[in-house]
Amino acid sequence: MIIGTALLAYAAAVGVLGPRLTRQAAWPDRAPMLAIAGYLAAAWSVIVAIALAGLTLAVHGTAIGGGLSDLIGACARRLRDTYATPGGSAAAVLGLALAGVVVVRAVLTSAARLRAARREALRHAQTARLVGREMPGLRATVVEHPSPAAYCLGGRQPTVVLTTGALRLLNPAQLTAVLAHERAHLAGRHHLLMTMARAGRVVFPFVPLLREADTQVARLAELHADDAAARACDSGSVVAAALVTLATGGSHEPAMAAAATDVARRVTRLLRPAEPLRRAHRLFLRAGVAGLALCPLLLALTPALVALALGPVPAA
Amino acid sequence: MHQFGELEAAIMDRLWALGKPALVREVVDGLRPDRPPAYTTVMTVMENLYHKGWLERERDGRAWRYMPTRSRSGYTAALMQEALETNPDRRTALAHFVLQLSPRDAALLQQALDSARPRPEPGEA
Repeated sequence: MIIGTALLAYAAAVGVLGPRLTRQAAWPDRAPMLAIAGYLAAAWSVIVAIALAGLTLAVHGTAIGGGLSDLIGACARRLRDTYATPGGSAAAVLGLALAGVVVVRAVLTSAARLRAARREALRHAQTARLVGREMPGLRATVVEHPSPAAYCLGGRQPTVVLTTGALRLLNPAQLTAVLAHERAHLAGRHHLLMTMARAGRVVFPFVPLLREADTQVARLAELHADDAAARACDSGSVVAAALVTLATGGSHEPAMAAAATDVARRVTRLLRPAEPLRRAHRLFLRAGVAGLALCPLLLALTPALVALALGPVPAA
Repeated sequence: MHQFGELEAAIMDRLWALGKPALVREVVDGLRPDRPPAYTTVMTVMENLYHKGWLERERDGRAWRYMPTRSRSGYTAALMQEALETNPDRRTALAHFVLQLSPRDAALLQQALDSARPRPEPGEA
């Protein structure tokens, strides 16, 4: 019972307070990939914690306690005392149901989202290749359309699509920057990361962290690709110029407009790049990410580990 | 697989250029005169395109005449509508370099940049 409560407390703390803490942090913009790992680890650790809370609720009395302790050779009674749930089998059934619902929902949602995104990307890429023209020098598909647009589709047929509207606006250096940006998305398999963040949000839409992770992973993926593009053309200001050119180059009211703050933030960041994180800082953050990923599992297993360490209780 | 896609694109190109229902033979003749693909390969790919809904066909004696179901610009318009539409779910399948700003925001951003940097980047007209 204690363990179940601790897991739910963890889920509540990380799920609700997490976004408030990270929103003030400055490091995610300086290490976008690490921050993506952090958001995904935190988001999915909340989901795992809720599932494990259900499972530990179910571990009561003789049902699983005996088998588990035999398995690890520790004291059954001590284990039983910590995991045991007042309320007996009713609580156990409830716990199992909670764990089952969470696991099934998370697995099904992720699988459905990944499959839908892959199918969608493949279909769109194939259509683009049929109506567009392959530009061998660019390794991109060019589509005849006045709206300036540049995007990529990950998956089985990784494709970069450019409109003629975009080609008209960009100078050669900016074009290189745009292509490097899109290739960084493809090379980093950002579509998978973004889909996993989106799936987490769909599993528990009411958890603030899961909503935040979805938006932040998408935003940070752009920053990561911006950095790659800046490295590729050895100049952040070229990438910034390409951003401004495409964001302001349209002649119509766009169907889906960019958030002005996001664009401005990316431009300033490219024009005035921050120092990279120091090694120690980076290591510390990596450890934090690993800690978040492992925390629910460690919490769930603590009593078992303690029992294992203490050894069998002498028969009273 | 990839080359098949290229052949599909070449066939669609040819049919759009012809602008009228065409026999497989007429399509084959227009494809890469230096190294024409086999007649049967083209026929198979065109049948696939028909089953995928890209081509329509009508009887002409014992052969079929094929033509695109929509114009190239019609398909392109639908494709770009999909790429630029507001459905947020699509954004995980499709990663834009940057979306367009609304004209008002675009003007504001341009203004802010101009005041911060006197020399505008080339191509930023």
